[in-house]
Amino acid sequence: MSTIGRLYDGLITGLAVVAGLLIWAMVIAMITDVAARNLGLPGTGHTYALIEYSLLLITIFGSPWLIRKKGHIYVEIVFQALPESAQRKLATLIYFLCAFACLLVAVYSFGETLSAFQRGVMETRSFDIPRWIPMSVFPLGFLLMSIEFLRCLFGLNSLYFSTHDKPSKSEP
Amino acid sequence: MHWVSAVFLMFGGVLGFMALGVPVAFGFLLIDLVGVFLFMGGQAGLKQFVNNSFSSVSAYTLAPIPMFLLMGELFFHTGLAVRVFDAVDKLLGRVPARLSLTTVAGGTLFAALSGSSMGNTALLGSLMVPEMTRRGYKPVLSVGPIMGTGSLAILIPPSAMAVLLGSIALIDIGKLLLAGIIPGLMLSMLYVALILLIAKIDPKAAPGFEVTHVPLSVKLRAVVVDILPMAFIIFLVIGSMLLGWATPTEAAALGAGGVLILAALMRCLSIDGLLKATIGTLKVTVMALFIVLGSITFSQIVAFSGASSGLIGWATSFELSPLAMLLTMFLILLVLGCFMEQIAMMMLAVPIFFPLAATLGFDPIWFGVIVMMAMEIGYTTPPFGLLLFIMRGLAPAGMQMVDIYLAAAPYLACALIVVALLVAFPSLVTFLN
Repeated sequence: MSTIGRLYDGLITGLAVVAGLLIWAMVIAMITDVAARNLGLPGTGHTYALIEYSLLLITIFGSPWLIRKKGHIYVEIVFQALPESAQRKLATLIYFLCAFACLLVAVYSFGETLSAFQRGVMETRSFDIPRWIPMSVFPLGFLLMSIEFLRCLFGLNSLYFSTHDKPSKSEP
Repeated sequence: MHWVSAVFLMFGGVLGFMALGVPVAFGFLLIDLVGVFLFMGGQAGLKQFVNNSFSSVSAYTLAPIPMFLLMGELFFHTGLAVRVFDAVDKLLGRVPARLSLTTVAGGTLFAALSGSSMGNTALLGSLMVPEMTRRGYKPVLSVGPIMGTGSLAILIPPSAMAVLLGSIALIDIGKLLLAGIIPGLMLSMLYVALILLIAKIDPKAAPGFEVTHVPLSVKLRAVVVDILPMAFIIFLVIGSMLLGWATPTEAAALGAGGVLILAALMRCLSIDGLLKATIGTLKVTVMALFIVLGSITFSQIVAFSGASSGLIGWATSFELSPLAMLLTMFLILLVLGCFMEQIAMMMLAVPIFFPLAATLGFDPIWFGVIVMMAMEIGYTTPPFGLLLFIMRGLAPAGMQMVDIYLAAAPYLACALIVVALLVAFPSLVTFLN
């Protein structure tokens, strides 16, 4: 595998690791907050906003990895009933549509991020930060999702076939 | 565009994408992009979609979902669940259909400790099916109670589904979580009565076997060491909410932290278990939150295009009684539940059903519990209930899918009885208000 390929794989896994760690960070932050409040100690007051941003990061950082792991659920009724050649054609169409949709969101979210940066828009929660900072995960995440669907389109992965010839079940 | 065309485009579009096998989350995403372009002003709509998506998943109310899932995953992967189950097994002496009753008792306890119906069913199935098969139990008393009890996790808190429903339908999550307790326990008791009845009518359905005598001291030890500590976890989640020490979100975090500490104290904690629990939590969380990301905009388009008000106006124009309307909505949910995954079904139904329920004067918490019951039933209705497939994977060789359907049927009837009781006596859940 090329260096770029390895770096890219590392990026997809690395982002999922960050998402996993954020789940634990949320647990710790909330327990600390409850303990502090009930013991009459001063809290940071920022847990709310940190949790909200963590949920955003978990969703966007975890999603390209989930496509790779075939973790997005789908309904099998029609798909499984089709002959294999039709399944493959349908899968190709689905990969194309999903890759296109993700790319479209990546482009428009990049535009919105850039516009927020240029206009100096602030995100006002329990603490204020420039909106472009949390927003910038959108173009990155959706671009990676688009690439993951393109990998499926070019036969490097598949959402529907566990090997190169047998259809697989969706994971619950 | 007329509201009828908007309904066909939005609902027909998303159902069409789902039927073709497009991943549910991306089905919503695709139809959203079409919808915002058509109804929200072309490119401006696409920009609106990005901003909506940004706010939809960065919402504090969604935080209990990963917490409750983590709690259940830790409970299963650390081996705590097996210890609880063994303890319940020791407590039950020589009773008819002993293993079926152990399933219901253990499964109800699991439901109070885990937020995942799939996890519950998988664990109950892998623990109980081999032993029940060896003892010659018929499917109605082996796989039946497992599917019935497995799906209780959706009702009994902690329930990730209740949190999701509460946050999407904008109803009080804490109250919705607590409102699930009574129907959940009623269902559990009905299962026990059903099992005893079947065992009485057909003793061959659960052949009796000699049970090793367990001395009282061993039983007491099992209660103190393996079951009582679980009460601590249940207290952390439900008690902290009731006492006002923590919000539902914080209670979820306390539960997850509690299971971790308990596993460490009971020497069940391992790096492998932690890793598996985190990966399992991440998979389901990302899947669920990504569907939320697409479905919030979906709800907005449905409202903005006039589809929501048009459909509600049309539905109420028949001047059916509120009961008939409720029945219709419930039947639609049951039909959707046969073919569709629970979260997707919830996302489709909420934008129409909750405003409709409000026009009919239904209590939102009560209606939320009815929707959860429909989702609970949907898990086990043929042909595509998720738990049926989990069960097929765990069932003994030779058991056909139709045997599994038939085994689940009496337990589904119990769920329908509970729904009827909730309709007849709404105060079973509304007393919390």
